[in-house]
Amino acid sequence: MVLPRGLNQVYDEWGGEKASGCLLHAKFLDTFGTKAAEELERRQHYAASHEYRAYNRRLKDNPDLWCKWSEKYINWRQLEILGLMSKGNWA
Amino acid sequence: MSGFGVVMLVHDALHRAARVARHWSKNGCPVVIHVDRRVPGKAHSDFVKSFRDLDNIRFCKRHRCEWGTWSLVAASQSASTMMLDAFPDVRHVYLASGSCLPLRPVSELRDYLEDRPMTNFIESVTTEDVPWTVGGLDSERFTLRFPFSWKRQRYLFDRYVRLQRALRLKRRVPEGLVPHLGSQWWCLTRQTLSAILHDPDRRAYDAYFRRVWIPDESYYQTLVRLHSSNIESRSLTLSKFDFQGKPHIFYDDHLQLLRRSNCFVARKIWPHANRLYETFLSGDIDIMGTAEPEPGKIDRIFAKAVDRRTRGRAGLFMQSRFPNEGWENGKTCAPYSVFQGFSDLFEEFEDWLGRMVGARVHGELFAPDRVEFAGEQTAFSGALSNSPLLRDYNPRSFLTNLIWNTRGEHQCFQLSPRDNQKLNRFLSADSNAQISVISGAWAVPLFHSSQNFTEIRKEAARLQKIEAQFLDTLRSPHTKARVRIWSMADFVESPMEPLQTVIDEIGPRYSRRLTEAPRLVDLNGFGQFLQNLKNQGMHPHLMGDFPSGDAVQDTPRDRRKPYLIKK
Repeated sequence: MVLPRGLNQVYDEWGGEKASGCLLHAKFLDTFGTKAAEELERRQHYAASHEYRAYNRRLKDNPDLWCKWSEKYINWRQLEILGLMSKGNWA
Repeated sequence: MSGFGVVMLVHDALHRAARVARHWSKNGCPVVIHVDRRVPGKAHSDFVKSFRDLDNIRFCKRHRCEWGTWSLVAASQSASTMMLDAFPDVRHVYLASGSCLPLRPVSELRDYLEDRPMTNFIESVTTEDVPWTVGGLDSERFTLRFPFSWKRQRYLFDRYVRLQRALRLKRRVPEGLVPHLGSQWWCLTRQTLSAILHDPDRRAYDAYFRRVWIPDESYYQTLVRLHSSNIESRSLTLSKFDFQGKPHIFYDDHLQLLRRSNCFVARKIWPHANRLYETFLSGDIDIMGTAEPEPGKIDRIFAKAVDRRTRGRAGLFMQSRFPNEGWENGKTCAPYSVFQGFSDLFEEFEDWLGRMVGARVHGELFAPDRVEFAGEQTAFSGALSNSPLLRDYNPRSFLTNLIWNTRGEHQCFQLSPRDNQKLNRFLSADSNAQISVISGAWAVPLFHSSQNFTEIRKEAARLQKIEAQFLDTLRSPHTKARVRIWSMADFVESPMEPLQTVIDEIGPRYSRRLTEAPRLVDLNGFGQFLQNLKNQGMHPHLMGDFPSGDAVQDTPRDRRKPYLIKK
């Protein structure tokens, strides 16, 4: 199916903001360390589980990604204020 | 009890239109519905049948409606004529669409209109005064011909407009008419509306408007000026347009907003906004009495949304805002200060500055092998890493992120010709940057270094070249930053005044008299050091004139003790 070109242009180039959201990466979840170890066992990933090996290496000893500059999640408005996402034209 | 009647133009989401028509009707308002001819027969007959129990609902002659064409005016004419003929006690006629939703009790609107029996509520503005025609055609709407559909035959539409412009073809506006534009959703009195519909010249006017572009925004708006002087040029229907000129659609999450607007009717409502329909048609909506509609509240919010969409937040770069160079509306989001040479010339300058201004003072953020965040932290606001590798991958984003992440706190950092120079052009073009340079001060660490002199000479030549380039950039006509440059000799001569200037600039919030001078490093023999460089064939010129003897020697000695300045 042919989609309008505009759908592939996800960011505004003239100063404005389009609507956008964010995804939470699984590495921020507390279960991720176990998951990484498990995936290394299963060996079902591309490039010899290159990424999981890196996660495992870094998270094994230091699974906590929280730092002094981390912020507790409140709601989407907070994410918008932080500039991590935008309402775009939404009022 | 009728007071006012509603003319409703319906073309889709018939079940919603039916709900709203029923609401008007049950609250004592006669309704005349125009159903678009394009609605299929079965849907139409079901729709009509659903009103069998109500005796104040009529259906008028159907026209095939298309956006921006005469058909919409024809539809409202047919419906209005039927309204005036069939319901003789109707004193105001309210034009609404199937996606309009009453926000206040019908009785409040009735009282409102009863208190203003002669007033026509119709937005009607001359073309010169209309800022809101998105996409170009305003006065030409009335002087060109538009036989082609803008939506379906855009190519022909555009070509024909261009042809008429080229040939300077112009239509004459019928005598006596002054073209006016405005929202197509109006509420007119019986007198005015019937005067428009029974005007002896109506045939001529209709023939003329048939070829005007978007006549539903100009037909009544123009003719009303002929027949009434009692015009409130505003629509009682709240409708907002976005930055592309498309109507804003109201969803469930606009519920509170719509409630607070005090407006009588809003459009367009999304057909699936169940909560809006449930709330506003339930019959137990808030009573606002005689309160005036206040679309201003909503206007502000929507204006902000348009601004966010078209101009965005200055200094923010993210997945849905990545402006081309020059389109940032501000390269960074807040003022910040850059100091070059200060920390070479003064001992513990950063600590001193931090005490004086209460801003965040970093070291050399762009040092070749490290990022010197304030307090030697390994990460900073927004978990910005101190990895020089990441920083050098994109120094501009490093800086814009830092300034964005620390909104509300003034940032200061040191710069030196020893550092990454990739940002020079960016800094000088950023109106938020306050750049203070003591030129030639990079020589002081060399003067104190114990390297062999050949190395020092080479390094001095390199640094001088880099700084000279930076100064050229700062002095170029494209510079937007607030730039201050002193030669080292001038600065050492009387440091307090320039320091005070720089600190005042950081912000009135921090502004006070300097009570403490930073400690100048030992410059004893610096003049001789420069002379030695010259003797080796290098010409250190950026630091200004230092006598080769020991004349400077006394100055630093005097300044070594902190001292107080009294007002």
